[in-house]
Amino acid sequence: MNKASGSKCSPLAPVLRGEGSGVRGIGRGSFVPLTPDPSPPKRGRGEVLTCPAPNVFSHTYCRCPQVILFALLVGLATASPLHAQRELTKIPDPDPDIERRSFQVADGFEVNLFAADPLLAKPIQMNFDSRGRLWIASSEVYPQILPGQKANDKIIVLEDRAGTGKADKMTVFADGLLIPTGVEPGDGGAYVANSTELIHLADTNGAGRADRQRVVLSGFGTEDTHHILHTLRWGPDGMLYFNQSIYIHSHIETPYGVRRLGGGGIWQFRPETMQLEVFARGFCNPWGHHFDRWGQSFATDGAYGEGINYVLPGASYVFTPGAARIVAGLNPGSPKHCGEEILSGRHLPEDWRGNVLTNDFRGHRVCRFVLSEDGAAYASREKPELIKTNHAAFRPIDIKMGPDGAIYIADWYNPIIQHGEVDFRDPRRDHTHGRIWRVTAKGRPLVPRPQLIDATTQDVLDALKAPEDWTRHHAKRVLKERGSKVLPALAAWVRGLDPKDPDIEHHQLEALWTYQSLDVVEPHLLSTLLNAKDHRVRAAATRVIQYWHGRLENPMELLAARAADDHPRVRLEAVRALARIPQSHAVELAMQALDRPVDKYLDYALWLTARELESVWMPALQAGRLEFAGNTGHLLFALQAVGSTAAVKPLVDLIQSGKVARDREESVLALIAAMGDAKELRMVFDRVLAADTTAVGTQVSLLAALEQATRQRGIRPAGDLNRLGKLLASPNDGLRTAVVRLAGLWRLESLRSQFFEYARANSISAALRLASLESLAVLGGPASREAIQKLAGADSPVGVRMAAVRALTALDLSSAARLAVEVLTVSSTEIDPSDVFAAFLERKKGAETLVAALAGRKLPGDVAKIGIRAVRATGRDHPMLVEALIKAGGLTVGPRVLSSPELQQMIAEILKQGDPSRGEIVFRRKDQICLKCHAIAGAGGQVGPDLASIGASAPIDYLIESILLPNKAVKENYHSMIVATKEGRFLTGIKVRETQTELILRSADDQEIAVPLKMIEDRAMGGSLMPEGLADTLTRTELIDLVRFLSELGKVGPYSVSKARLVRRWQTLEPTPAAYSLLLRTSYHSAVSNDPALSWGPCYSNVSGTLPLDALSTFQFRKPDSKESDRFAFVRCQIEASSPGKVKFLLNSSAGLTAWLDGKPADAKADMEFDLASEMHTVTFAVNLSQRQEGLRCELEEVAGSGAHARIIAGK
Amino acid sequence: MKSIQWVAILAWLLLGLAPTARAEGFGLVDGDRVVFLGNTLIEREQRYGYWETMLARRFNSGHLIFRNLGWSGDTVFGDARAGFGSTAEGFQHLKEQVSSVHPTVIFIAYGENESFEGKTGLAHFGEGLNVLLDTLLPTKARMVLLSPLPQEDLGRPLPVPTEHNVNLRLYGDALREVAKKRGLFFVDLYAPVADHMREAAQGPLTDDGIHLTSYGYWRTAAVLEKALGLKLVNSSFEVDLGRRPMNFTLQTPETVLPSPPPPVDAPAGVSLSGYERVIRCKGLAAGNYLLKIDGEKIATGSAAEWAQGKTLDRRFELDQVERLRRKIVEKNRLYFHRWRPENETYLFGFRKQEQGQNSKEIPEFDPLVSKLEAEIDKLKNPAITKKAHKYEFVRQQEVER
Repeated sequence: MNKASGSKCSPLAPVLRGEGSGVRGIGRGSFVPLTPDPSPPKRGRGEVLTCPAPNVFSHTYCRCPQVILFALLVGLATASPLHAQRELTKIPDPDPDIERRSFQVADGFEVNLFAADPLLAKPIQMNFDSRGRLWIASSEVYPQILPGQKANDKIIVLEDRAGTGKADKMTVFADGLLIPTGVEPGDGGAYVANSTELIHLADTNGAGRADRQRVVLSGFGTEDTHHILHTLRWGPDGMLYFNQSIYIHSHIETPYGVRRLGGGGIWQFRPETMQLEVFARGFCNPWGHHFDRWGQSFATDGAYGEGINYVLPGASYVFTPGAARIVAGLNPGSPKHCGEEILSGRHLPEDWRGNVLTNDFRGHRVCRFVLSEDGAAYASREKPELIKTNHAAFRPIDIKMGPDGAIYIADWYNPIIQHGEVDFRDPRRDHTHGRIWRVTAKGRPLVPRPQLIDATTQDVLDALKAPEDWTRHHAKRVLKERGSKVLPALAAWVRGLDPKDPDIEHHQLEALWTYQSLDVVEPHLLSTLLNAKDHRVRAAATRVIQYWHGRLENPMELLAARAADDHPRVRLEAVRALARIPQSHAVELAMQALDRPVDKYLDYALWLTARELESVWMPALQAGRLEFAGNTGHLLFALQAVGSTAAVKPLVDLIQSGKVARDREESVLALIAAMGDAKELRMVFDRVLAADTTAVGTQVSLLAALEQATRQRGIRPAGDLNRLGKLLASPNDGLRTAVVRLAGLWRLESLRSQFFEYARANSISAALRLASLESLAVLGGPASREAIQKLAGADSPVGVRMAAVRALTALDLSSAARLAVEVLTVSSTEIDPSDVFAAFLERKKGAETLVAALAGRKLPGDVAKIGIRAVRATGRDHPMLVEALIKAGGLTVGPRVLSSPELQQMIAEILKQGDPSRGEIVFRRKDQICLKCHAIAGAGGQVGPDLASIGASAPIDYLIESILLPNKAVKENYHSMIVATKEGRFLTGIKVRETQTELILRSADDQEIAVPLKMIEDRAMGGSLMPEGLADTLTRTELIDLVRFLSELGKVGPYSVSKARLVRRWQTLEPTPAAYSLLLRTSYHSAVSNDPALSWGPCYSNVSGTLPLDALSTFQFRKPDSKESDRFAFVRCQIEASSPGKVKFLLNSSAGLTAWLDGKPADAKADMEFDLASEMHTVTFAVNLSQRQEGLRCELEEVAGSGAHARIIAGK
Repeated sequence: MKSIQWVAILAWLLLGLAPTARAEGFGLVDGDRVVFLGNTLIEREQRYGYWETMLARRFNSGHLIFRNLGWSGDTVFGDARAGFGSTAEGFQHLKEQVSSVHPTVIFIAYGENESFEGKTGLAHFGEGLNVLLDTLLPTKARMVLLSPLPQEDLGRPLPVPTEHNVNLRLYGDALREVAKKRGLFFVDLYAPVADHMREAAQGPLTDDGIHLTSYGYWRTAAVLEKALGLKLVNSSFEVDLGRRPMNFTLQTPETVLPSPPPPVDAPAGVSLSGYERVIRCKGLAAGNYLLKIDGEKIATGSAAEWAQGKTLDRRFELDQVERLRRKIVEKNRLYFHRWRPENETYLFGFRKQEQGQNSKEIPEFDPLVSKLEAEIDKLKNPAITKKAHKYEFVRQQEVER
């Protein structure tokens, strides 16, 4: 064997080539050529390739029968309405001390009871006033008023007059309220969220009780009482912020016009001017929002798991109706959180200051996140909890710092959470208890309680220098309430600041915010801070321009300079501020930020600003009044951002004048294809035809864009479409497939014979054959029908017959059904017949026709099962077809219904005998494919809910029922949607989002499908995408272990997801013939090439964070001159760096590993260090399974002093 | 105390005229079902009830039902009622909400929100209004169109309303035109409310320029009363006491309850002109007199002042109408739970498989509403109390003694 022979050597005698000089084997450092065992795949024309490795895990290539269970644990985050929490027969003892003793508290902290029932019941939100009194909104009526019940919910005020850390006075400030979900003291009373209204309650005679009620705003939706107006909070700018959640539709009249918000979001309101705006849109249930020391906003979401969200003004977040683009959270895969407080102050240890605390009320935890700056935005990292417990009624939902520097936690105290899944009137719902806990750092002095109300203005001003956010915040509130009379003192205070004070810029910023609170413009101070040394101060000052620009002399000039600032966050703030200025010049200035590095947040901000200002600048551009100073890149960005029809002509001009850089051509052409008219599409078409052969990828994607244009808008390029045929000369099957699909759509008769040829060809990809058959069907006619029917007949291979049957459904449903039954009768499950069933199910009358054809026929049992699962994946009922399949397959399937005693028995067994470690194995088994649809901590499928904390929140009875009867209760946002299209098809999936033009569904196999709204005839809600009968293949023991495993997830113990940043989602190289061929022909190193012949399938670490080696797809290579073989696996993960620099990659051991970073060899050792640029990176390992037994555990760690920010990519 | 016991049944000389049930075309009759439809102006009325109280006390014979279907932010297109759906669905909801009440009378108050579209939006508004009225035609209800209110200038930092008021007038005029063409009753609130707003002595009617406070509703109830062609009830009276100071008992003279007392948020010192009861008392011997009613000190004045007429603080005898108003507010609150229940998503919407079993509770509000309406029917009639009040004039020196 000659090592220099390289890729020329025969497939039977391959060598492995390393980078550069030579060849090396993997993990042994010697030059050992390997031969696959038992034999390399034969590759010949017409041969159906089979899986070379006897490896049941290689499911993406070789589908084994069980693998095709459309196993979707979709229902798994819900409780059934009637029987939820059935095992909750023991209501915990409400003694607060029992609850307190159950807390596991972070080292160095202790918890004491500040207040408990009967002093308060059911606290929802709390805020301190400037006197240090704690105001609490509480509701005993929640979740729903009963006819005849008096709405008598309360706002109470707790005081700790003696300073002992315990409330010693309670005052009912107001009662008679209906589910008040928020309270924020201020303006002589308190603002209260009272269902449809934001009211202000005032105590005009000092009696401590509200005697005046004023409606401030009205028209908030109440479609869900845990979504209604909430999270009231004053901003540093003197504005009141409040949130609403996903089901709410609000229509608020203001003196400036109606403000509407459908879905979640954060409102921003200035009471004295009545100006109300939407500060951010989206979120599912954002019950946490706070500002950091520098005025930046962070939010948490009680129903969506991405941890801390950095909120940039005007941005859209997950679930924003109609949003074309959203900003993601900083901790994907993290569970859901309620309430939020950013810590500060001398009482807390230094490493806790600036941290974010929030509550996982499902999992009974108070969670901690550490924020750090990361380019324009932030990175957030979860750390071990402040408090965790298994106490079933501990429901922390709000968290605030107090005047003494301690942390206060509102505990809603309820064994039952939620009101969707558990009956409103369930007697176990708690309506009487509630606690406020106080957390202090052991052995550290408390902060002296600030006395601000009676202090002199000078003293209040000096409080703006306090290290505690609490004190500075309330000092600003007090100054604001004292009004404009404080202005002279404020000006003098600013003048008197010591220039040598290292914190002077922050003091000045507090003063600037005080001016803003008072709504008094102070250009001089603003200008000073716009030029501050600290970029955080410059960013905060830049944001102030958003609100003052109409009253400043030179706002454009100021923002122009900030758009070119050295720090990306200042640029981002400038870009967002410019969106508020309705002048065409504003967009030009914003686009200057493109001249510096642009991270994804800045990119988003630019995109948003360009869109928001479109109505201003587009007409100017069209009138020739706007030129972006001749900068094509700026113009191009703005045009692509708006993506509207108005942008098409300027984009065409840019393309035709050759001003578009090559690497952006494809995206520009795709946009033209998506929006343009026939003439403009012709230009795109011409470019596709003229492209050279290196641009196959571009050609394919542009052909897809043209296909979309025809499907969605009915527009085709002008001119001779038959020219498309010339692309069929390409040897690339992908391109030819795209051409054939499009040619069918365009009904190009001229290519009919070509379709015939492909349909009958032997060596051709399945996709091209299917496209050819389908295009033939579209062209129709007796010749097509005859040819397709012939191919569907018994003379063809099974795969070809199935493809032909699928195509035939478009032409002749009953003939297709007859032939389908023929092929299904003889098929095994080696070739997945799901698509055959799906082809019928998506057509009107398809199911009925198939039923007729099945009459009196027999199918293999497994095939019939797959058929039933295909039916269930549609979310619709086809009882006749299910019955026909049961009969044909000789099956006895049906949902396993447990009687109440049986269920109790099973619960008992689960608690007594269930083994979570065995259950995890069941969960991970590929034939259950739980992970195909469900992620744990972000790693896994995205079709169903993430299960990381399911055990902590879901009772066992409903876990069982969700597996056995997935349709009984379906988690919000996980109902399937069934869409009937005008073409007479049915599509089913989970709605991901809906834009102005299309509906995006996530199908049962985790694909996003975009359906043009114009094509939708009707839509209906379906059930869960998780099919029933999923557990049919499980033994009772396996089911019990599986449920036990799920019930442990998120609970304190080994199945709680670690805070370490571990790689949980991997990809393993599939041992396809192509992969074998490539590796054998070239070298192991080819595994890290981006060769499209390589196919990578997902695999996941277990809950503890270790990737078990048996999860990997393996390659077997025969050792030369030996009967022994070596087993290898290739596995890779991705890391995205948002700020460049060094990071550590810690391995549990490097035994048997060879590593690459971005395709370049890296030393595999326990403590690897990578220097990462700001982009996506891939770490690949080859694992010699003969040399390594233990699983692979990789942790991303920071390197001291490095500014790097990186995150591990999760997902499916 | 030496006051003279002299009880007389007095012949009342009412200075004003008793109201008629129907005046200038507008009236309500036994069995009428009145819907208030519109935006925040209508929606917030239900929480104060002054407008509804006015109609209830003016049309106090027979059974009337009032249903407030106002929705903040709404327009003639049904924008605010869309829920999860489109504006077209919102309009459909509007139609269903109104028709399910089987109204015989509909007060319609739109235009405020639409007016932000200015002149260019006027045609669109007109079309929408006509579609709305056509859609409501099958109810066969008598319709009353209300113009938008003017925006009040409350000073800075609230906005200068000049420009918006031009638009509000435009939209009001459009409503007037449509009403005229269709022969519908039109109520111009703009001009009389603008007059009120110009009179600083009356205090602001809104707290944000566009939405009435409870005091604003109290004030505008009279505006609406007048605009509907209902002459204000003047319950002032004159009495000739003849020779000596005396006591007398009298029955509440009205066939209609007086207006409710002003709410607590009424600005101090505002003129209550039009609401007061003036008593003129001839025949008192010279001297100063204190009037006590039911033992409560009401007012003092010289004999000459009493002869000329003095305004009485009527609070002492307003219990009944205030009770009526509170019942109306309570009824509105219960009805709100009935027609706009919280948690609709779970009770009736796409998550009804979870809590739909509780939707049976919602109709349980109906009997509660009906029960209150029966009480309202009784309370709105002044005859039910038939309470005689004891009036007493006491010479000032006797008091001092």
